[in-house]
Amino acid sequence: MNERILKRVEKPSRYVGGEYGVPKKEKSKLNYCICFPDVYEVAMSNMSIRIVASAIESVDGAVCDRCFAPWSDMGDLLKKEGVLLESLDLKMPLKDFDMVGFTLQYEMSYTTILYMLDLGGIPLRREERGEEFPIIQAGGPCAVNPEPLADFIDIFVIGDGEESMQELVKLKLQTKTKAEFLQKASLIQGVYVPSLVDVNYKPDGKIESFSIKEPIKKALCKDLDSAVFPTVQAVPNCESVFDRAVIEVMRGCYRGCRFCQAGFIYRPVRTKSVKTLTEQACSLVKNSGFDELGLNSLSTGDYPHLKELIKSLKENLPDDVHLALPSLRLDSFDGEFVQESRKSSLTFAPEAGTQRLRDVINKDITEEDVERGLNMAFDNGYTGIKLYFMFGLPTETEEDIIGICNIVDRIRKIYSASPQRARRLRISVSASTFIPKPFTPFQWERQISEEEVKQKVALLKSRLYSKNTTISWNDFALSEMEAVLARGDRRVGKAIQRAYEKGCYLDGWTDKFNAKLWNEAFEEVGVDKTFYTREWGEDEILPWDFIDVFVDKQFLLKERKKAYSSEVTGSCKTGCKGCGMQKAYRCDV
Amino acid sequence: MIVLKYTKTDGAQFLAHLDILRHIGRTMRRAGIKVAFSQGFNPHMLVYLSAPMGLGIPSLAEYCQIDTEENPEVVMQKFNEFAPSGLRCVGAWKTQGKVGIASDIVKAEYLVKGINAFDESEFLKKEEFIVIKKDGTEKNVRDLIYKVEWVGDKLKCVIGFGNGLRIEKFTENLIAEYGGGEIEVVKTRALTADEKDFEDGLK
Repeated sequence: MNERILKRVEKPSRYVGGEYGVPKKEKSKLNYCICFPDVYEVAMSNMSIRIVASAIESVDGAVCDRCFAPWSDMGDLLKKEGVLLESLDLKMPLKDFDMVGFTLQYEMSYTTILYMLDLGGIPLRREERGEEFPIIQAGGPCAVNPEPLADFIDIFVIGDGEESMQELVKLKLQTKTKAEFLQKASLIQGVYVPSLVDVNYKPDGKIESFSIKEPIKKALCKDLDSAVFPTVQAVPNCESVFDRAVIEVMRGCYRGCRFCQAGFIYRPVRTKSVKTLTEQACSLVKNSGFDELGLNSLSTGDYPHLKELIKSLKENLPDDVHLALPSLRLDSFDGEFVQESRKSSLTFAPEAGTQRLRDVINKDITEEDVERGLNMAFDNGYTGIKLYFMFGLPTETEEDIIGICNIVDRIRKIYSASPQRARRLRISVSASTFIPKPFTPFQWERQISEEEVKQKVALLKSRLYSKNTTISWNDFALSEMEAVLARGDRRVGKAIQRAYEKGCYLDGWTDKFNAKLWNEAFEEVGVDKTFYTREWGEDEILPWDFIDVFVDKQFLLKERKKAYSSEVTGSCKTGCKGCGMQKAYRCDV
Repeated sequence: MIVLKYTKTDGAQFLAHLDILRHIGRTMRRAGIKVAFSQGFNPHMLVYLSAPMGLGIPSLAEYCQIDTEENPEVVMQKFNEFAPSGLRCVGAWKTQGKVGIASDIVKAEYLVKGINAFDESEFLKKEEFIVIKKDGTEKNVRDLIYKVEWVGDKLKCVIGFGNGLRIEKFTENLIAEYGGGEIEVVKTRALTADEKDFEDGLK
């Protein structure tokens, strides 16, 4: 990036590269650029692209570069000056790579993919790109429903990237034309090539069929412990969102909360050994100088050898390295771990206000669990509690909203009864709108309307009268759009493109998201949003039905029925629930 | 306590002040150099930097102070082994306690390329050099301009540092008056009030 441009942007260090820990790179036979469709500080905190990058780099003849979304000041300047968006290491325009891969971490980043392609000199739609342009690939959690991006992406990898990406890159090195590559790639497990699949619709707009014989099975990394994992983690030039070394303790989650997409698509649970984790942690900390280590997973408290791991890490890491344990559940919360943290505020996600509704969503946690966890937290000096809830879960009534207030009252009582209370307790309640996601038991559910959200907020506000309690809730329009993109089919792609053309990108940033433009985009291309937020029939063909994440649709239906009778299924740890995963993997529960 | 002199080039000139502080701390950690920590609720490594300068200007004379018992030569060598590219240590001194790296550096020397030639002696005869401050008011900062001389096609100048005249403003005004194009600026020396290199006082 030339200096003249760098001097005119707000945070130039986002664009200069050269981070400590990034080896010098040279062009190779296959030049791959991994892209994160968000700004540097977010992208540099993401572990999955580092794993994928090391998988690619492990292939002889391949080099993996990086490129992240420029903030709007830089984006505007690039356009104005006619300079193409380039990668961080080789400083090469995106259009000059052989392959460009985007990670799909959240739906609201979809327009940012188009923004990056556009700035990188690459036509947006796949049929507009000839042999002279790179293969555009996408992967990551949102790829389980690839259809909204099917017009723009040449090839998706669904599932784990460790082995599938190596195979894909090797294949690219051996093939000549795009057509040959895509045809052969489509035989690799986890690979979906949209140009090879057509979708037929019924007159009422619902899906009639897919022109595909066998469903596309997700790629599965069966042995996480020996899978490729980076030994070095680049130190970001400017402070990133999670400025710490990160190891992945396990993949998948035993819990199966019925709203949670990650809980189903990342099945089965695969753990790493204490030995491997300790080695990986020591290597990352030593090579980076970070003073904090994140133990990441969907539910780290459920890692079967957590105590042993923490002991091993304490023995082997420098004394002053702090351990960060995100996503601890209330019932796995243990006083011993609390002291590792320097923060004064603790985050809990009961998700629902009553036991009944928590049973509906299979959030297997009781009032006693909550109380036990809180007591431990207060004993350890915590003076702030952050609570996450969802509005609009299936079967929700007024009582469940009032239940949120009861929880807050109870927490206050527990706090007053605990001996250590130098300060007044701060409680913040934040509520988001439930978004039905593919491959969950709630994938057929409708999303509640803006009017309903307003009523729920009003009710909560009227009942939650207590000082030092703050309430916040998500912008409805954003949740609605996320629901549409999450459950969208191929036709939604037109709206995404129109939204981008109208100026939407970096939509995950609340100050950038523009509901008006998005709504206009849907109207202009004649796609009805409410078609995607309605309740879907159980006999309907869903846009993602041709993808197989190994969790049976019948199992999801059974779970949905159990939800409606408030029946808890519970954790896989209490015995196999027969989700269907067994056909591909032997779970060690 | 030791003082390091380091350069900031090859992209590192775009790192923000606080980020550099963080990078030096991490460099010390990677190098395994023991540095004292502050006491208190959020202990932090005792590393101090000289005053910040404009983002994007490469520098050959930055200083930092590190509270360590380690031998300065060793720290310098380890710094260069473990620092991000673009930050290079070029000198290290042991000091008795803290020295005023922020307060004692009041002048700086720059080399500027890209301003159209002008007669420096005429320029220095001027009694006024007006800059417009952030609040819109005008200020005469002639007394902060100490030396202006041509070295080939580059202008070598010594102006105040951290006290009311930024090099960006200075060059902007010169371009407005004499013309010029894309300019390149490098900070070459950090000076005390008597125009000696800051490190002279450490030797």
